[in-house]
Amino acid sequence: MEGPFPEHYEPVESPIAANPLHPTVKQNPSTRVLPNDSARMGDRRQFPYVATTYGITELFRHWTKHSRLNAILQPEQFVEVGEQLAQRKGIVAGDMVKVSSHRGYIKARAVVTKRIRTLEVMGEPLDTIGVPCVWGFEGATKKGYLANALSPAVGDANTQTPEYKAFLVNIEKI
Amino acid sequence: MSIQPQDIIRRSATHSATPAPRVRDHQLEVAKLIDVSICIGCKACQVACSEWNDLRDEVGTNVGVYDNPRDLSPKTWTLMRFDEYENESGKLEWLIRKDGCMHCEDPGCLKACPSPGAIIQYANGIVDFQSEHCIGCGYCVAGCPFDVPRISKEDNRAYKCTLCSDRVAVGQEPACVKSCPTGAISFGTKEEMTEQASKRVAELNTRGYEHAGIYDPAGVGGTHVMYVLHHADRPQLYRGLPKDPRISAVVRGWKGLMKPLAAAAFVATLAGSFLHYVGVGPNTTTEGDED
Repeated sequence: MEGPFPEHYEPVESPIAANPLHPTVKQNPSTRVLPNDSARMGDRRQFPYVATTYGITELFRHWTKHSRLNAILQPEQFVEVGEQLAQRKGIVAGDMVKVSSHRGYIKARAVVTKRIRTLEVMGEPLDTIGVPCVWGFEGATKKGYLANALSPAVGDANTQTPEYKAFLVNIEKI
Repeated sequence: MSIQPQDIIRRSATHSATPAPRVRDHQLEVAKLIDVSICIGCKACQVACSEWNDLRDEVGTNVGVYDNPRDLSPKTWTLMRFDEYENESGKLEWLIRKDGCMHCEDPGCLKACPSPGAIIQYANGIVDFQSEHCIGCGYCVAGCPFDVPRISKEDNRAYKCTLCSDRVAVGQEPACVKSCPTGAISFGTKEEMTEQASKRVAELNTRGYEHAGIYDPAGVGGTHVMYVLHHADRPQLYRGLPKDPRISAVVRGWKGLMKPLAAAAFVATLAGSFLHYVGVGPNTTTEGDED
């Protein structure tokens, strides 16, 4: 267990070189990571963008994609890409893109949005890619990829919840 | 229809000399108020609309935007339209407008419709399509200043939001109002809704939205679906909501000015023919070649 005081650690897959608070201790030392999973962690030079997974109001987890009414509201898998990153990568709204981590990849439509901005972290630009995790290989929606093909199998030291909210990916137009 | 409406104040292609049944007119005008500043874009209203009205649109595709389905259709009567707007101070605002029939006090669709009784307006203000009388000509599409009616390819008839006239007739609010989780959609008499909207606008004004206002455009006589907008001075920001909607001049010309003229010309032709017959007599022909 970690604690009892609040502390900041970087995610196991972090887009920055060092923990700004403790240059020598980047990740939570009490996190348990199996050797096999460690071998599947990506490097920030190869996978320079942060991905975060989330749900959307139209679809609940992997349940309601089987309901026709919900499928009508969000029929096809998409990822959200900020305007600046899309411009640099030559991605136009509606393009098919491939988002890949060191563990796997998904293909989805690109929704280009102002809502995700390029951040400046430790003096360097940093882009985030939004990956809603509500589509799958079966359902009333169009078939999609499982977002968990991307996410790492490393748990928070206390809750063992995997780091679905911050991991490293690359994106390319296909 | 098994239930006969007897509260029709306007009926398409019907002269005022032969009005629709309208004795049951002791009704207050109703209105739906959509507070855009409270909407979170969850699309619950879209689902409620489909459920109550037994509509199931096609499962479409994603074209790179959040909006889905892509547009209003014969089977999508209401639709959230998402716009990302960066305001003067550089702050991002996600403007989400619930699109659908505005139920104009002076409905352009009804004015344009050539089929008697295909479009009616009830005493409470609701504009309703009576699809069994629709001939699928599409004039209502040309007449609508908000681009709302859609013609079905299945049965060549026009469809749009009914403001749940069947629910309202038995004292219930429309399905979208019932489903809204944030209370962004309200329903009541037009007077109550206007008052509620004014209070909300005053509140928004004190919270930095100096141009907040009610959208109840006078160009169509006011509407029975009103919006509270944070930027009422620029309704176009909300996916091209017209600033001053009016029925097209073509529709107004043909259905307004030209109608009595056409009737007069028709009567004059008939009278001319009759007088010619009485005064001059019928045309005669002679046997053989005429010189």
